[in-house]
Amino acid sequence: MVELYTLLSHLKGCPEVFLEQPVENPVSINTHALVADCFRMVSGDFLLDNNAIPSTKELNDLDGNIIPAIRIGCWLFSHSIFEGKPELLPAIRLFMFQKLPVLAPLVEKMQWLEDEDRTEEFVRLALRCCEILTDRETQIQAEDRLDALDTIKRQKVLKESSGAFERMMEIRRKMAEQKAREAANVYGRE
Amino acid sequence: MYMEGNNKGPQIALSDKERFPLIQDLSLLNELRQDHLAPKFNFMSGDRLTANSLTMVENYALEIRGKTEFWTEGKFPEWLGAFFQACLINVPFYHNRKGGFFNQPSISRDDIRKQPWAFVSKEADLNELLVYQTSGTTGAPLDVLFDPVSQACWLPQMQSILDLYGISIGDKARKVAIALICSQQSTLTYASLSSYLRGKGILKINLNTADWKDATHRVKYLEKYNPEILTGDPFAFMDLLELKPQIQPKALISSAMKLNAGVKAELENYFNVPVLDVYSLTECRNIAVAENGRHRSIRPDLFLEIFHPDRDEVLSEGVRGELVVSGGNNPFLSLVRYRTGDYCSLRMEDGIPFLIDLEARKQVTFYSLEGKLINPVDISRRMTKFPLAGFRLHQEASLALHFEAWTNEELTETLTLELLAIFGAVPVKVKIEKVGDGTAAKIVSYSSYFSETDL
Repeated sequence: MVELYTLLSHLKGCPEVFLEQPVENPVSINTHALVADCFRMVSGDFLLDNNAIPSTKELNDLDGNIIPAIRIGCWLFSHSIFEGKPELLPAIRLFMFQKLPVLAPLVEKMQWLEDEDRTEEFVRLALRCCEILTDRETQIQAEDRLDALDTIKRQKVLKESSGAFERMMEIRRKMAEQKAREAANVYGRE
Repeated sequence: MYMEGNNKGPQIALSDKERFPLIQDLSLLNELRQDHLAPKFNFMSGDRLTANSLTMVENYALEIRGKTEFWTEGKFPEWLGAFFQACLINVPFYHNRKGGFFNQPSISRDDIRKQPWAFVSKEADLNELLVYQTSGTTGAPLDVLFDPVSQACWLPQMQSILDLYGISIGDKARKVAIALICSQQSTLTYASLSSYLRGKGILKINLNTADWKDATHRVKYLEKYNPEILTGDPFAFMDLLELKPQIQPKALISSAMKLNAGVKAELENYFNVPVLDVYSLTECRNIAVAENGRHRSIRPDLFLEIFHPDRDEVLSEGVRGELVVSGGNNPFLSLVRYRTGDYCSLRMEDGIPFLIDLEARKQVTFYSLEGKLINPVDISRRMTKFPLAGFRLHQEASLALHFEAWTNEELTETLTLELLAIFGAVPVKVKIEKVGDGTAAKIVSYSSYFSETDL
């Protein structure tokens, strides 16, 4: 049984050292070391072959602003419910290297820990990748909730509203301009 | 009916090159403007059509002229579903709508008045945006947005009407295709050309003698250019008739208000050509033409329905209610179930909708103390300079005026003086009502003892 609130609480307790970038603090933990530890803990095999762990190159290929989210992910998967479950490794790779790179540029790193909705989105998205349902929730309920929290959708709506607002202002400006100018031939009365 | 000739009116702002992108030879334009008999034109106008937009007008003409079946009885036009889907996606006003077309609520003039920008399609090019401010003679003033293409499509719409009578435009011997005849205290007047009509002349003239160097020029100018088609409203045509011009138009097209049978007969007797009473709205241009006591729809691109006056319920064929229109070709005003404010029943005949017993905008007649006809357009225009949320004007048989205005300013004396300036020394009673939170739409309404009784 996976308690959602246990995972939310766990994520919020992410140590500060996970949030530091090695470039900012040379004594901080190396990101590849964190990822490798995460994969080994989940696999339950501390001698896990290096080929089964994302390489330094894979991490270096990612945009810099994605690394903090990956480090937070490493903290999430350090929870005991993920321990010794090697079948989850492909899902965790999917979450870290495909899902987070899309979301991370849209969310400031501290929001994953301090904004209730973003914390929940982070945890739920990780669980969905791992195909884990939380207590008493059906798959539909879980999907609905994640859908409601979806950052990508939210950004799209915001972008659309902002676009719509700008368009409206542009039309109003043009209207004022055109009202004062000649239009086009009128051929009959209306 | 356009708000013109006041301090908020449009200013001349273009070059002839911008007015007529496709017409290189402007000699006819200069001739019409500079003729010694010409009126004192006070404005300039062009069709603004580029090669691409002219093609759009020509394609529209192909689409609507000669269309023998608009949609079959009990069904709906093929284009309607795609049009509605495009509105859902592209027109902000309809964004959050749910369900199909036939689940949609109606919209009203007030919806457009409050946020005209919400009806502009995302696909509309704002560089093409044009605005007409209606004077509000048949309702509250309204900004109607459109583009040169939808404006020029008035011409194929007119041609589709003339086609019914076997009339075509394009006589080589005549230089002017259309003359829009006005008879108002003041209005914008101009000579123009039409690219769609292969460079033919277009005139908008005012019969008011103040607009001419010599009163006799009104007839002489018209006789010299002998326009193929005359357009206007019944007021203007009645005034034209009094001048007895020796011209040979192929047809007269009357719109903006109902054409009474008596006036129609007089005009037909004099000119000996069809006098066509066209039902049109600024919001979607021409809709139908009177034919044997009813109105034949001329727009295959406008879907017509009849709604219950008080609720969104579609009424069956033959049941009288409010005419509701959807469609059109104006990307700046996409109409989905727009209540026209006019009443009729609908009957389909061989795929063509007919409006039965159309009760459109009534011709409201006012008289000055001297017995001169007053056009409500002139009253609306003069009232726009005052901060009125709306007004009602009624004239009694004694010529006395009752004017009720909604405003938060004390304008009793000012409005009385304005009405006296228009009507002469008739009894005037002005009542001012405060504009409260409960004031819904702007009201502009005219009524008169003389309406439709003695024209």
